[in-house]
Amino acid sequence: MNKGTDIAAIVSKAKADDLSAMRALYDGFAKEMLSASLRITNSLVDTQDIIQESFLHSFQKLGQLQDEGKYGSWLKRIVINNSIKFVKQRRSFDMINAIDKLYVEENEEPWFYELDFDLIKMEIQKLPNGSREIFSLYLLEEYTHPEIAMLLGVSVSNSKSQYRYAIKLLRTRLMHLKV
Amino acid sequence: MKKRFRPLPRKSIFRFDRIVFLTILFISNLSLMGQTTKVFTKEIEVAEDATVESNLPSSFGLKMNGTITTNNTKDHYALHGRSNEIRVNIIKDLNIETWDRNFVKQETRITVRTGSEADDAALLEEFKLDLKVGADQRIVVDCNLNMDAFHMKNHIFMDDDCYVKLSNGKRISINFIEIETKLWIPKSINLSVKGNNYAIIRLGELIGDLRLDLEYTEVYGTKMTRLFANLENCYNVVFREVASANISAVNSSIEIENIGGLTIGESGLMKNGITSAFVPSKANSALTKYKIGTVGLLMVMNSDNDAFHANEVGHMDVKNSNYTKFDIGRLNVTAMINAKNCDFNFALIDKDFTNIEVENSLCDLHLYMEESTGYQLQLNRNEYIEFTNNDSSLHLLSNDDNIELYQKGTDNKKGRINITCSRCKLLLDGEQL
Amino acid sequence: MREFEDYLKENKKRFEADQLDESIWQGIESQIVVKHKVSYKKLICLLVALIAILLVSFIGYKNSVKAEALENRVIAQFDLGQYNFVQQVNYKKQKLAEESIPVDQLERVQILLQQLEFMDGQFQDYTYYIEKNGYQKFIGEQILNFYTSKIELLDKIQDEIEKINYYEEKIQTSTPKVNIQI
Repeated sequence: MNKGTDIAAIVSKAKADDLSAMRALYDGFAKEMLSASLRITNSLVDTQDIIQESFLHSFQKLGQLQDEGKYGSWLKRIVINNSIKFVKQRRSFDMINAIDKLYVEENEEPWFYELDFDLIKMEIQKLPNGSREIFSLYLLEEYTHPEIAMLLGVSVSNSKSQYRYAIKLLRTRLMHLKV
Repeated sequence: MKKRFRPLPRKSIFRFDRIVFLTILFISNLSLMGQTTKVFTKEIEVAEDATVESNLPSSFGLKMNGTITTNNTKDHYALHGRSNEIRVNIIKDLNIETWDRNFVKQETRITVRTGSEADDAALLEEFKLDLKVGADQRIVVDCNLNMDAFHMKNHIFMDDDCYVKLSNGKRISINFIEIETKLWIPKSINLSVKGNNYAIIRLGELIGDLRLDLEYTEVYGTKMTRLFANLENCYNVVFREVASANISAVNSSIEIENIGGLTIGESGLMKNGITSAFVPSKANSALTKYKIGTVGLLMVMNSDNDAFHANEVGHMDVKNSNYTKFDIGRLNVTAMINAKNCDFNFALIDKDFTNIEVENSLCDLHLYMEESTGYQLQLNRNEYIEFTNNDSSLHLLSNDDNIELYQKGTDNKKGRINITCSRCKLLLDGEQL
Repeated sequence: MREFEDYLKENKKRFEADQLDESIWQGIESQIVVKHKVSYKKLICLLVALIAILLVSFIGYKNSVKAEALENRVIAQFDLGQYNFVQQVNYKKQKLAEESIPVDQLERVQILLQQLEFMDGQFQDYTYYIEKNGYQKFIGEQILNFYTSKIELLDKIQDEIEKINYYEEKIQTSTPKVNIQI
C-alpha cells in the first residue's frame, strides 16, 4: 500500500463500514505495525492484542481522521501509544549516567553489510527493555528525543543515554557474533 | 406588610389648633423618631506574644423564627420582620487600629429604636460586652455581645412586630437595631482574621504575624511584617509594605507595593480542615492577579492561570506554574523557571544578572537585556523554538548536538541564560555593545 | 557508528514481520460484526432511551431557561446590562465549542476548563446569597468582577488553543484532533 490516493480511497470506503476496505487496510499496514509494537513490548502475545485493539480503535474513530491519506502515520501513532502504555506498566529504566561523549565517531569498515537481518532483529529484541524501546522509537520510528521523553516520562538526557547504550550494545553483540 | 410610623395628618399646618395638635403629636412621637445609641468599650491587658482572633461576624446569635426577608440597602443587612424593619449592621467594615500599648480594646456602638426611650435604655442594658483573654492567651474578638441572652420572634401568622424578650421577661418591640465594632490591638501582637462574609477590613501597622483566612473580603493594610493569607474571591487585598508573605489565593486580586519575600501557593487552601473544593489542578494559587511593586525574592510553588505583574524582582524561583502570565519590569539577579504554558515578559534584565534558567513549553518568552550587558545564552534546539534575536552583538559561539551557545561581550564575569523550551517563541532584545 | 545507524534506518522495512497470525484479523472482524447486529430488543431499548433523553433534555432546557432568566434578572438589578456580559460569554463559548485541538493536549487544557466550572459555581453562590439576603451593593461589585474574570478566562482558553494549533501546524505531528467539551 504505497500511494496516498489509494489509501485515501480505501479509508473513505472503510468510513462507510465497508468490511473489505477495512481488511485491505489491515493487510496493508498490519506487518509494519506488528514489528513496531513488538520492538517496544518484546512480547508477541501482548503485541497481537495491541494490534487488534489499535486497528479496532482506528476503525471506530475513522470519522476523526481529517486527512485520509495519512491513515498509516495516524495508525502508527495509535499503535506506538498503546505499546508504550503497555510497557509503562512494567517500566524499569535502569538509570544510565549521561554518556553523551562516550563514543567517538569512527570511520569503520562496513562490517554490518553481510549480517543476516534475522540476526539483527533477534539481537534488537534481546536489548534491555528501556533501551530497546527508545532505540526503536528513535532510530526506526523517527521520534525525536524530546518526544520520546514526553511519551515515556523520562528526561531528554536519559533518552539520549539509553539510545546510545542500545546502539553500542547492539553493535558490540553483532560484531562478536560475526566473529 | 411593613408597619410604618404613624403618619402625620396631611392637613394644613397653618391653623392654630392644628399647630397645637401637631406639637403634641411631635413631642409624643419624639422618642419614636429618635434612636438611642450606647457605646460599649472594654479594654484588656495582653501579653506581648498574645494572639488575637477576629471572626468577621456573620450573625449575632439573633434567633429568628419565621420568615426573614431583606431589602436593598447600601450599608446594612436589613432583616424585615413581619411588620417592623430591623436593620442590623453586620459589621461590613472591620477597622483594626494598632497602637504601642499592650492592651486590646473593643468599642461596640449599638443604636436601637424601640417604642420608647425607656425601652431603648432597657434594651441597651441587656447588652454586655464580653472581651477576655483565653487560657491559651488567645483573645477572640467577635461581637462579644451576649446576644443569646434574648430572643427575637417574628410571627408568621400574626400581624405582630418583631420583639425582643428581655431577661426579666419583658417584651420590647424593636424597630431598628444597629451594631458596629472597632478594634485596637498592640502592634506586636499576632492577629488572625477569619471570615466568609462580604466585608471590608482596614488594618493598621502590625509588627506581629498576620493571618488571613477570608472569602469575599476586601483588605486594606499598611505595613506588615509577616503575612499568611488564604484567600478566595477577595477582589481587593492591598498592602503598602510587607516584610514577608506566604499567600494562597483563588480568584482574588492582591496588590503589594513593597515586599521582601513573597511565596505563592505553598500552603493549601483549607476549609474546615478539608482542602478547598477547587483543587482539581492541585494548585494553591489560581485565577489571581498579583500586582507587586518591588519584591526581593519571589517563590512560586504552585500557580495555575494567575497573572503576575511586578515592577522589580531581585530573585525569582518558579517551581511549578501552568498558564500563568509573568510580567516583570526589571529582573535584577536570578530567575529559575520550571513552567508550562506560561508567558514571561522581562522588560529589562539588569546588566549584573547572574543566572536565568528556563524550562517551559507552549509559551512566549521575551527578554530585554540592559545595555552593555555581557552574557551567554544556551538554547536547546532539540525542542521546537522560534528564536528572534534582535541583539546584533549576540553571536553564535558553537552548535553542539543541537545545543546552541551564543555570547555577547568578552568579559569573563558574565550572566548565563539557559533555555529549554518546547513550542515557544523566544524574543531577545538588547543594546549593541 | 553513524554508518551502522544509517544502514539500519535505510533498511528498516526489512525489520517488518514476515507472517501475520490470521487470528488477529478474525478478532477484529468479530468485534466489528458484533457491533453491526441490531436486535429488536436493542431497538426498543434505544427507543426508551431516546424518550428518556428527550424528557431529561426538556427538563434541562426548562432549568436552563430558568437559570438564564435569573441571570438576566440579577444583571438588570445591578444595572450591568450595558456591558452585554451574557452575550459576550455565550459568543465566546460558542466559538470555543467549534475549536478542536490534538487529543494529547486535551488533558492540559482541562486545567483551564475546570477553572471555568469553578467560575460557574461562583455565580450560583452569588444568586443563593441574593435570594437569602437581597440585592446588596457589594454583591453587584462582586458580580461585575465575576463576569470580567470569566470573560478573561474564556479569552485565555481561546488564546491557548490558537497557540497549540499554531505549533501543531508547524510541527505536523498528525495527532488526531478532538473538540473542546465546553
